[in-house]
Amino acid sequence: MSDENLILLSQSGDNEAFSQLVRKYSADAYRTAFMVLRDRDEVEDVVQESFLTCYRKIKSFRMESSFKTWLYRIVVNRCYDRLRKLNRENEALNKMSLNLKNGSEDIHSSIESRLDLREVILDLKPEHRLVLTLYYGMDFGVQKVADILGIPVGTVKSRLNSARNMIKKSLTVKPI
Amino acid sequence: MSCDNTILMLNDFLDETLSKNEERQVKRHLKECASCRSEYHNLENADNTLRQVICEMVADIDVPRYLSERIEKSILDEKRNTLPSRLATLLKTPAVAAALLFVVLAAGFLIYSSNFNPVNQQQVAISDQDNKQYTDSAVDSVELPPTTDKIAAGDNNEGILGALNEVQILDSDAVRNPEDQKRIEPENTVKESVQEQPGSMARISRDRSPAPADDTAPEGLDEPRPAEEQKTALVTSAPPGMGVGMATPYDGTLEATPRHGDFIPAKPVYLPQGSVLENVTWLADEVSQDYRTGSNYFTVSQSRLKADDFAFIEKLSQVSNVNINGWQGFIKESRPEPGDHVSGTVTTLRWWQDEWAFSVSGDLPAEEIIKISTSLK
Repeated sequence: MSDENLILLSQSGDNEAFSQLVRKYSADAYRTAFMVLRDRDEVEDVVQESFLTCYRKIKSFRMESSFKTWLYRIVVNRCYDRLRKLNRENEALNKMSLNLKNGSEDIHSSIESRLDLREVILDLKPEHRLVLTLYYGMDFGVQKVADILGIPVGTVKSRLNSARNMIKKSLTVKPI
Repeated sequence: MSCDNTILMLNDFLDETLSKNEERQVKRHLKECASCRSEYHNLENADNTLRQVICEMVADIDVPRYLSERIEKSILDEKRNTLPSRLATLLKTPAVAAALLFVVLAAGFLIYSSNFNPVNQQQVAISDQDNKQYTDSAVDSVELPPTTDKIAAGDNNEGILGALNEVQILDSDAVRNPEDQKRIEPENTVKESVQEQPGSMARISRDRSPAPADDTAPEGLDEPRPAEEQKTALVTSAPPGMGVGMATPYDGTLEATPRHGDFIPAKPVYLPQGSVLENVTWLADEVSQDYRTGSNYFTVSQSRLKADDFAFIEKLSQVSNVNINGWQGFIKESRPEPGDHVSGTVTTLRWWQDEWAFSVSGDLPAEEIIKISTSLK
């Protein structure tokens, strides 16, 4: 059954229809939130709260976006709330975070020394990591990523470009 | 297109955000220019690597095994928890609060009148003497309060009835306009109201059944009344909050059955051919209708939602889901329990609708049970 039909049924009080939406999207919502928060308990709370928010507001959902976009936007906002609450961003900054906009030789050397792109990605600021996760991991287009994150398309492109350029340089730099 | 321009557009080319025309120009240039082509391949390589790493990272995340189930349960909990809060919000509405206060006052007046009105006491005595069940020692010495004098002096029906009707108007969605009220007011419902002793198990007799107190019944009592009026009069005959159970054997319609709750029960519009309503059982917040269809039986139950109703949800694996007019229903087939008056497989369908729990159960095929359930109005 299409998302639209499931939403219409949910709006008429059909809990089973909403449960189908939960079963369809909860795993990817969890993975996306985990890419940002990296804490299983926090992530589970975020996903659960996000679906509860959708459930409470389902009757006012006007199909102006897809359910998936709406859900991810809620998940992302919840993640940001958590980050603010836990002050994770400051913590991340203290942990040698990479500023993609000011790509420098230091970055390249750190990539070279570790040669582990996963580590590099995990060291990115959460909002940068989120763009990569949604674009590459969840297969959203640039416009959808911008919609979900509530940022301009140009910002999404700029973050993608920075990430590609960073990887490109790391791949072209030959280890000594 | 120049190399500089092409290089600037390579990321957009990968993002697929170029216009068709720009895309064509970039493609054309990449065909012609080896340098830009090399630059593009490096970027494409980085893009592929990034995609691969991110996808692997995402795929490696272990999703908790029962994540969906937990979310679904939290939604059910939410639904359960919001019912009382919705009621609380409703009660904060001035009009509802005023209506509720009025109901309480009217009910108090009814109880007071039933206790201290000598006319009522006399009628109770006469009525119950016929049944050889009554002792009237408790009411002999009760002094008649001045406020009930008027009622006792001949306006008795109007006085009590006025209060009764106002109670039922607030309770019943079916009766809302003054016309209905006027239509009901002249009717006599003393018989129902006086046959109960507050705090004791009520004994209900219907006007149209062979009445034990026919001789003493006020004028007009035997006149047949429209079902709705009769029903609304019966609403007020049970003291509020009375929780006694009572099974009333009856072979007529649900509307004409004595009621002991403050709600109008849902009734199946569809009944299998030859179905007869045999029994209606009222509890405080629950009503069961027993139907017989030839040699088969089925029961339609309706009760106010209770916390433990949701325990049923835990056993989802044992049941199948069906849709009852947009509400999720759970259907289950089981062998009859000892003492059940059926011998075949019993099909039970349960669902929740607003603040009500419904069940339709019987030794009928599942299709029939579903058909009956979806026809409840």
